[in-house]
Amino acid sequence: MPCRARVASVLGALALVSTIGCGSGQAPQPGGERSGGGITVSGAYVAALGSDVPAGMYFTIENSGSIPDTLVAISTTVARRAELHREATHGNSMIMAPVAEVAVPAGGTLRFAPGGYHVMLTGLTRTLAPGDTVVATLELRHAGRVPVGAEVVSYADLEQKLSESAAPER
Amino acid sequence: MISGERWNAMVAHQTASRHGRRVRRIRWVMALAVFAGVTMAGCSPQKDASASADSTASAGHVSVSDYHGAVLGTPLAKPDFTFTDTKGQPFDFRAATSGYVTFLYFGYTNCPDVCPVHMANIAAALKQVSPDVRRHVKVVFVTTDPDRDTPQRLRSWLDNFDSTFVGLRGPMDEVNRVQAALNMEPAEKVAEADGNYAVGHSALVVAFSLDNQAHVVYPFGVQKADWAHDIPLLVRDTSRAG
Repeated sequence: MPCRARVASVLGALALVSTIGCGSGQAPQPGGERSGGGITVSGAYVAALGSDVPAGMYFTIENSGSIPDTLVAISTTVARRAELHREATHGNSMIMAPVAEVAVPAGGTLRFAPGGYHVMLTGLTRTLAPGDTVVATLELRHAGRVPVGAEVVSYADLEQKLSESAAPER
Repeated sequence: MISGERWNAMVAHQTASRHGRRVRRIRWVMALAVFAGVTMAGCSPQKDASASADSTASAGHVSVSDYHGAVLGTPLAKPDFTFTDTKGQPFDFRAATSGYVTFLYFGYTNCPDVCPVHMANIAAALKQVSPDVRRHVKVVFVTTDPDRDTPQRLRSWLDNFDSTFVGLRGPMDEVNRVQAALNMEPAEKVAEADGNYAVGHSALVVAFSLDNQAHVVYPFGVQKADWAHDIPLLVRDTSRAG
């Protein structure tokens, strides 16, 4: 679409004129980093058990442009449904709720991590084993479709993998 | 009491920030502040790496500030209930866990985020402690979704983590009564798309010491290293032994 192409080229130009606190030379994750306009997705992981229970997908989205963007959808061939969720806390209870979209601030970072945002994958079309790669497509309102490769990990390894991928100062 | 909006703002900040890890620590510590009567002792997970060598930790008095978990201001007695285990047998919680350090958690298998992370972290930590410590620990998972969590589904889900984890099913009003005795909110079903639903439930793991009282609780956000640090302390803490 012409409008989208125009937006994309403006974003591309803006991405060259870097703004605040972004992309600090974080090492690309194996198969995990994809860019679209000012948007970079990295540290993408799927934690899964058997094929008959939901899996969780997590990643970091960085928006190095000066235009705010919004994650509006996600899809993957390994699951019939991929839904954005976030955990809400009431006292010491937590409940997940679907969210229609999540903002990725200009010059900012959006992290999907346990206890916060996650993508819930249901209707898995196959069993996912640690070491597998899951290909997913993130859809952002301005940047459009951004493909990403997520590494499948065990739940026991998830938090460590996420913190390793998000902590350049380590 | 922290309002819902404030919590949501904190969560949004956590996930929108590069410092999510630090905010997450502060967040789970603050979650405990809302949990009435909680003492904030012992909430620095970085502390004392040397004490994590559980085989050299000596038995005896453990100071509250040694725990990485959150120490309760007022201990909680083990609730009295009998639910059905994954073999269909009655499980009398107090009798069956008497004399064990017991981790009690309420969750469900259609939970892709909080529940499997908690269970996986505990299972991993239990593999790191000595066999002598391990044999004094029981983990009990009570489903807050008995409609979907059949005994078979519950067993196979728990077996992903540790085949010795006990899975229990009970009537929801009884499950909520037990949660209430532990100062937890009742589980709550929230409809999602296509007839699916999520279940709100307490994300705390309650740790009962050898005196059959809960002195320490573990909210979501506690990591493997924290469990591996505290499990030997819970087992060896004779100041809280029966």
